[in-house]
Amino acid sequence: MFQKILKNNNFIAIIGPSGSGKTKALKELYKKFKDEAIYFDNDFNFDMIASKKLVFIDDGFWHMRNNEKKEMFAEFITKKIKVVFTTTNVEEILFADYIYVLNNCKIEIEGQTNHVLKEEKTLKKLGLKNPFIIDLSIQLKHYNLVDKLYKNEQELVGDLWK
Amino acid sequence: MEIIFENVTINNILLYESFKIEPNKVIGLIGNQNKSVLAKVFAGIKRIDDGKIIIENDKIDLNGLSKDLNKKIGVLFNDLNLYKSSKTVKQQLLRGLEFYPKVNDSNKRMIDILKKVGLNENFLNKKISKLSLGEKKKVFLASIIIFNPEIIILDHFEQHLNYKDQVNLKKLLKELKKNYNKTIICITDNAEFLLDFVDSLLILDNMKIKIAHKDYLTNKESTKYIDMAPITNFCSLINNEIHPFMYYNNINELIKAVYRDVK
Repeated sequence: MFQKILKNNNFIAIIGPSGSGKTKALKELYKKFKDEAIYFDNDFNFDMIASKKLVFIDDGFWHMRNNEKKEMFAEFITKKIKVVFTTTNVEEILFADYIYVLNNCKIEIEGQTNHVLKEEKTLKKLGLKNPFIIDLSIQLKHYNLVDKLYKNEQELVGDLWK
Repeated sequence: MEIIFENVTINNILLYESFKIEPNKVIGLIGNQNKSVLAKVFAGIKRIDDGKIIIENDKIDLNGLSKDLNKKIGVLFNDLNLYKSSKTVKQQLLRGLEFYPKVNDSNKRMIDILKKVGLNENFLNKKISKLSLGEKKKVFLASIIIFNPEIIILDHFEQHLNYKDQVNLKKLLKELKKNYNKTIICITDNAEFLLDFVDSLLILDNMKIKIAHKDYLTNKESTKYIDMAPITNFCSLINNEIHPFMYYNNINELIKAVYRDVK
């Protein structure tokens, strides 16, 4: 099942509250792809990927500025590198195409990013929150100021004040 | 506790000219280089080369920290190697208790402190190495709070904590400042963490320290050192692209303001 998800998605995020088993899940997935993949434990360095096309990263972007992260994910796309990553930084899940949300070492929700991000109540119950722009879009939708979820602040500002 | 820096040189670079940190405040330390070195100095694992840091009737100088001062300062690092400890949670907390005046019931104190950081007594006999990173950080936070230091320094400590844990950490630090008169220094690259929390900022720029008001976090100039919090970034965008707009720290207030403005 995961193989199919990996085939159809470039960036897969694993999130969840503290103790939910994110690192354990990532390591178990990595074991299945060990021969073709590389694993980074909390400190990611692009230069160390070498020729690998599949990378597992455990909350490893914390030391990077936002621009650096955007450039890095653009580079992943250019070089056709797939990434499976855990993160505690909600803003980073916007880079993902597919998200697993864990709780007590089990999958609570999974799916394409847009689908998971709409599960506001479940995420809140787990002590997680949506990226700011998604949270803002959801709440502005309640006020009928917008009619969709935005991932781009510029676009949202433009549409609000058009 | 007031902290006075007098021409402090570290790694043979004059980093901190004369300035002071007022007691009972939360200070954010941001900047480009050498921020974490300060945490190491306060933890006693790095010596300054010249100058001194005066803390009440004591000081940190070329000789490092006195034993008395050691008991008054708690430092929390983001060094993940620390969290590979083979100790149990109880052993780690007992280590912190060595600095605390004798308590009648150390077990009760440990359990109370664990509760404060969001863990229960079942964690006492667990090995730190077996916990999740978030849980490990809570244990180390507990091991600092348990000896009631007057100054708490967090070096990028909020990293790897998820949103709820960061909120709880801020709540706890606010409580420590308000009810227990702690001085707290947060060394960080995370503007969102500092928002609605700090009293003022220290900026380490090109080997020199500058003092700034907390509103500096909404100033575009701050992006030289730190990414703006997403909410600040959004308000900044409205200011730049549409018209002058107030900066908000709270999303609910922002939404009301947007609604009033757009409608």
